[in-house]
Amino acid sequence: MIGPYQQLEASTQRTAIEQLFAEYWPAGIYRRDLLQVLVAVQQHFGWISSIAMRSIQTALRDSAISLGELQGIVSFYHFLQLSPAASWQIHLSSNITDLMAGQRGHWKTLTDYAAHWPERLQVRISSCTGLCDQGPAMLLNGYPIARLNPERVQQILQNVEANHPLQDWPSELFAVTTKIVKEGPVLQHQANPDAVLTQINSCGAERFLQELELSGLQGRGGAGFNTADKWRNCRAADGPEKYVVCNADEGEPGTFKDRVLLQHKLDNMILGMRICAEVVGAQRGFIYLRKEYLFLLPHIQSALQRFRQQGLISLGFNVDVHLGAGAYVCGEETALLESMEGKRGIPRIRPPFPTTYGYLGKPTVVNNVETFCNVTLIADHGAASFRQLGTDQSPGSKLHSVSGDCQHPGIVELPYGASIEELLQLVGAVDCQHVQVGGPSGRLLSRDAFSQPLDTAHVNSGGSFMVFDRSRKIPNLLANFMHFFARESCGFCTPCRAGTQLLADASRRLQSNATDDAELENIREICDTLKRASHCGLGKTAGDCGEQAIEKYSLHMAAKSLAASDVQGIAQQEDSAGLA
Amino acid sequence: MSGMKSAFSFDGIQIAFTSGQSIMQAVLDGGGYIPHLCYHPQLSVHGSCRLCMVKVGDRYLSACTTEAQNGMQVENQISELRELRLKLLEMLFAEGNHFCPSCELSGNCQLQALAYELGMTHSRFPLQYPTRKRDGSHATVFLDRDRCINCEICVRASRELDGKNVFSLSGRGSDTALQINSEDGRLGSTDLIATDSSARLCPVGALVFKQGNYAERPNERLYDTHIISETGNRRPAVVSGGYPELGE
Ligand SMILES: Cc1cc2nc3c(=O)[nH]c(=O)nc-3n(C[C@H](O)[C@H](O)[C@H](O)COP(=O)(O)O)c2cc1C
Ligand code: SF4
Ligand code: SF4
Ligand code: FES
Repeated sequence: MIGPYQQLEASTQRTAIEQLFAEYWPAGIYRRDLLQVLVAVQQHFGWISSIAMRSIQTALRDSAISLGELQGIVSFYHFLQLSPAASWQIHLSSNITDLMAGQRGHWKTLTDYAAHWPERLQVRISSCTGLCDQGPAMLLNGYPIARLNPERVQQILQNVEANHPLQDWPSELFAVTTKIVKEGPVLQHQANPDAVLTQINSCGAERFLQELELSGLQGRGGAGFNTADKWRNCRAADGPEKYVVCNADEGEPGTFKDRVLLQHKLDNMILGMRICAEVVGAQRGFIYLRKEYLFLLPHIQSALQRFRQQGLISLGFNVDVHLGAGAYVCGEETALLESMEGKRGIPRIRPPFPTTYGYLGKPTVVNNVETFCNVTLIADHGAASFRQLGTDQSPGSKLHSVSGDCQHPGIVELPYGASIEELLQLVGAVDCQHVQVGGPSGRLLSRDAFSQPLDTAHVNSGGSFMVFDRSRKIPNLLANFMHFFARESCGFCTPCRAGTQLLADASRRLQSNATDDAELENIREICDTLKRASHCGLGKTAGDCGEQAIEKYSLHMAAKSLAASDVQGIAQQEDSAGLA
Repeated sequence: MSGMKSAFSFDGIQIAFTSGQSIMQAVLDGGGYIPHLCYHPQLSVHGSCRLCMVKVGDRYLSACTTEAQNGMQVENQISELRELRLKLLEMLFAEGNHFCPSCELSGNCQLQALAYELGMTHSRFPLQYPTRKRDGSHATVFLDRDRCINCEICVRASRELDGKNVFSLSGRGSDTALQINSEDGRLGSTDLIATDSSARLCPVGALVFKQGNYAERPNERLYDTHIISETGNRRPAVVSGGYPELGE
């Protein structure tokens, strides 16, 4: 843990950077390492100085890079900065659940302080930090502090004021604990790595692939693609060089189940990657870990070390960690690959898909953390046992990260097919009016839809489940989500680059009731354009999200005016109290 | 089966293609037209402007990134797509500063020409009035980033046709902006010369020549007298510093 950041003399800085490079990249820096190098420099020095960029230029082994291109990469990622670092850097999580828990007040307190002491403290916004069950949350010099309240904020400011070295800060501040509200097979599974691998080896890759096919496992990262199909495509792809990538970017606001799996089921996940490597014939694996989860890095490194020592991953298949740098779009698998190659995270044109053209152009499997955990479960207990839970179309269980207006925010593992209502009961959401399932890019559902099943055929979810009671207003949700999409749009394609910005502005006017019918129609038009013309899922779901919220809002406004003219039924049904 | 001739239907007309060709390539080769800004036949495919959206069944696809398939039914000239493209155009106009009447490229600009073609009268979306840095440091080429549509044609042309690496994009989202890859970030410090393709392929008036502008009278310029769906996307020699056209 590094802090406070120091202002270093040019020569001291240069030496320190050279030491850093020598320590982490003894074999020299290659183009594909660029993002990792930039993240390391950022983490160590708090910013990417021009001295640092020159050092990188000089150290690059395989190709020259201009200053402009380097700045282009830095300016793409939220957590990399070109301006000098304050001693302390705070990123406040700006997810709707953080705001609901009082983040605005903390923002005010902290920015007031930073305005007086800019060289001491810098305060910025980040998208969801993956701590929604214990928000409001922040990152301090990259490390999470959850459960913010006025006292804790004061405590943080006192430590900033005293300029205590970060490792001397009360460790209690940095505790990240999540309540497991309900366990299922994935969270209960204790795999014996040796036994699982022996079994895979004895039955052979093809047999296991058949078993995986029988299991019907669908990806848990959101899209629900059939995992066996993906692996088969990659297995069939030409070439001796292949990769396995675990998508631990977990950027969807309200999602923290991958964090919990990384904390508690890491061995199962690594085993799942190992099995995948066996099946598709890959020699290397990567865990693309979002920068927000830097605090988990030592835990992951030591697990990998242990696996290496036990010979479970070895020369034949090694796994490394790649850090993100603050970019939701990098969870999209092709943007993720670009990012892994050290570039700006712009989604690629698909096809070709990663299974044939992935990392460095080589066949690559990209799967979610939870998907790999399920693979290990299937390897251990078989497809039949796996299919005992869930539905025919969506076998198995799903982890939901529950936050917002409920008594027991945390992780709920439920068989696919369980209803929204069941989930709400488990977490003690008594006064729930709306749920946002699957995060901003998912579905906004109200009470009339709570009997629907949570599965890939009905209400599909990557694992975010945010609960809103009747005090929450749709325009506030819309504004928060639209600002999120505008912040996270990569800027590549017209509809999303321009449209998310326009939607963010319009939603702000809607919040303050400064919209008319023409503007509402404009919002619909923009959403429709995003849905139909965007290059990647981010823009498409941004349009979908806006459309759903506006629909609900309009319904409510209609109900309200009907209620005024004495048609009470509809008004009660939509329950105006919870909406605008 | 590469090289084998196949065909697909394009607004009811049969278009022949060779395997591996995109819908865009096949249609342009066949003498047809699909609105486009970021596509250029001599450059790698980008897929960012989205003006080329076509409909295949109930799917919306960008023609420049989608491989043609035998027997495919592609819809292009339908009111739904006209409306979609119109909105995309209006978004482009809203996010930049396009003061057409006084722009050097007026009458020869592909963005403006598409606006004519689609019957755009105004942008229904609130104008954003960006204030990005301009760059007048180069002897012959001027850059106005507020007119740039981030199509990366100059970026690609520099790398792929000129064998240089003058441009790239920086920032993200609505902060995305064209960046110059020189030490001081200025166009004047690069090896860009007037004859470079990258200096004369910009579809809008973001990268323009400093001299020789306004040589044609209004009403005599390319898109005053032609519609873009008939001429195709062109930047006439007169606004390319007198150098012959590239490609299309
Ligand atoms: C904008 C966007 C963001 C995404 N973020 C994530 C993410 O954070 N984690 C994830 O596993 N998948 C994410 N995905 C889905 C991935 O593209 C991909 O489908 C997934 O990693 C495949 O793994 P799976 O089949 O195991 O679900 C995202 C997709 C989009 C369009
Ligand atoms: S929709 Fe377009 S601008 Fe938005 S993130 Fe995807 S590629 Fe980038
Ligand atoms: S300057 Fe012109 S060619 Fe270059 S990206 Fe901008 S609009 Fe495209
Ligand atoms: S021409 Fe196809 S997206 Fe621009």
